[in-house]
Amino acid sequence: MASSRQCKVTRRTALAGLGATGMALAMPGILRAQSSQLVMATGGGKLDDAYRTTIFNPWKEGYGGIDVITTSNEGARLKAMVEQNNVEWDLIQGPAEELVVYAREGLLEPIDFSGIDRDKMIEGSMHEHFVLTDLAAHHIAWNTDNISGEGPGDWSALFNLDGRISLWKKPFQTLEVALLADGVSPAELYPLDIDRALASLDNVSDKVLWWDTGAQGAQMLIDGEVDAGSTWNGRVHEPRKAGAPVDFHFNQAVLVSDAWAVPAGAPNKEKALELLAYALSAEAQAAFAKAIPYGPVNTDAEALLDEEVKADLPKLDGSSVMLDVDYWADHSAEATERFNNWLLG
Amino acid sequence: MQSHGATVTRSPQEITPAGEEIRAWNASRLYRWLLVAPIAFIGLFFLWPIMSVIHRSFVDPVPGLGNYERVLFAGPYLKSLWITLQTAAIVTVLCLVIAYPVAYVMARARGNLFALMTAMVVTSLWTSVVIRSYAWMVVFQRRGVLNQALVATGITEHPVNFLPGTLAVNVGMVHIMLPFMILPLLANMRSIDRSLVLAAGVMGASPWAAFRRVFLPLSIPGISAGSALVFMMSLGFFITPSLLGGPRHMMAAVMIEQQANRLLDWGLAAALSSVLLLLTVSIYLLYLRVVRHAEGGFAHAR
Repeated sequence: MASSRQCKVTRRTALAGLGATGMALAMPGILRAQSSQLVMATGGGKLDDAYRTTIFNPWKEGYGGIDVITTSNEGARLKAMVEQNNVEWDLIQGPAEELVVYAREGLLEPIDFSGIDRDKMIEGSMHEHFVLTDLAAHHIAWNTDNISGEGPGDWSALFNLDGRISLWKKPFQTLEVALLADGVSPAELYPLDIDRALASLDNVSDKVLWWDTGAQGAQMLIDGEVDAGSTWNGRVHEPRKAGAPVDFHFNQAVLVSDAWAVPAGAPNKEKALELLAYALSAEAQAAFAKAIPYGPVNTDAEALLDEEVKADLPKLDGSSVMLDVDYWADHSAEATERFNNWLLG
Repeated sequence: MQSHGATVTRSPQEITPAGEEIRAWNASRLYRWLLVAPIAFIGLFFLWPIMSVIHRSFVDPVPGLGNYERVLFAGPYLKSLWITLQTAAIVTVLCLVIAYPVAYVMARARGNLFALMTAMVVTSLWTSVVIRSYAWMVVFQRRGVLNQALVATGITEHPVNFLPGTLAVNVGMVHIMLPFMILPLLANMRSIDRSLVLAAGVMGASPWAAFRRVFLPLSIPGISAGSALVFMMSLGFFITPSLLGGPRHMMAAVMIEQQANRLLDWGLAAALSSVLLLLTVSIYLLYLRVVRHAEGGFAHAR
């Protein structure tokens, strides 16, 4: 019974629906229409603030007045945008071990390095689809109220500690830590022996508190919920300076990086690459390292930093290990499955 | 359940001698039209996406049952589904046990007292789940409020390690889900005619018997609505178990997020979601049968 009334109602409904979807779809279009803006997806928080003050703002002032607006860097959104051929982001920042997975999925543009002085960059920082932009440390820290004097000197001391310890509830970095604790030398770490890593974790599973987010991990240490554990230096640097009962060192640190990339089909590729080149300049790298204690990847930046700042930056030395992103590109899925299975017992 | 002795409802149309339909404008026709917009909305923004998720679970990355094979046999996924169901069931039972007396008392309250009680239940919804979960972390941690009180009063000599633990997860989740149990129960109990309970008393039933044989059966619709709501919502819990619980409280939602957002294996994420959906729907159907049976028995007696 296709009465005219039915048609009217459905048409009206359809129009209302279209109107709503149209509005939703038009919003990114409005953003994109303004060529004086770049959209960058980031992890937010402190890192985002540091990018704004040390990279986005100086770039805008010095190079053509383009604003950078940031949004949340969810991988699922990137995949959906690329699948639907409707990419709104010009740049994406994320942990290197995640961006490498996106690169494998074909979600990132190959980077045109013509504007970048590759010789100045530290080894292993330039990849086909993404570049590392800093060096952070996944390292040992302890609560100074719970542990008087020196904390655990290396991962094996942490694993043997008589007390509660905290570790990251992810296979990345944690499997490396478990192997280092079991006595594997940094040079022989990769490819990871997952069986051995899980066996090493078996020894400590009774006393581990697992943290999910960086903030939670740092809080566990600062509140004394655990005696010692792993964390990222950007999370405990400020609290230690402000007098919180937490201390740390970089011995046997696993060096990890944030990386930047251009999503496949990004609307303003040229401008995005210009911003990326600026972010890698000695000037921007030094300013960033002063704002947040993550080491530069541009070797020229060191000359612009004083000794006090440099002392707090993670660096690649004999004891530290650089996370092998290519290993994780191939083994993320398998390692996650096995690690989760181990967690669930 | 067939309604017994009900007459066939006739369509509100009259047939003229010539056989033409005269459409009377009446309420039931209006109601039908009013449903068009919500059905279109739900179809477009709920059913269609769910269908495409289910479709993807069979075709991504290659057509076949590969994703389901992994969910069922590859290790962590089935375990996590089991943990999810277990957690949701425990939280539902705890919520019911706590909420029932609360709703019972609230249903009898009137005026300002009732307004105050309702406000107390509802205001907890104003704070985000993340904040409330963090707050419970602060309460339960080794140097937290609870441990300080326990040690100060001499109940325990040393702080108790509540975190991570099942107790903390259950307390946190029950706190968050409680309003969703209290409100349906309250709505139901306020509609129960209390004179029926009085009548039972007059006819010689003890207060307990009057409650058990009259009030409780009448409150089953509230119990069923509240339990279904809490159970379904608990299945999707994410942040609370991961903040307050140990590694063994890894809920299916966490696994789905990892696959969908980090590892970008949408086929596996879709299969995991579909299995969770299937489990939820089957448990709900089973539950409906049980509840209808209980309600039906009572309706016949009436």
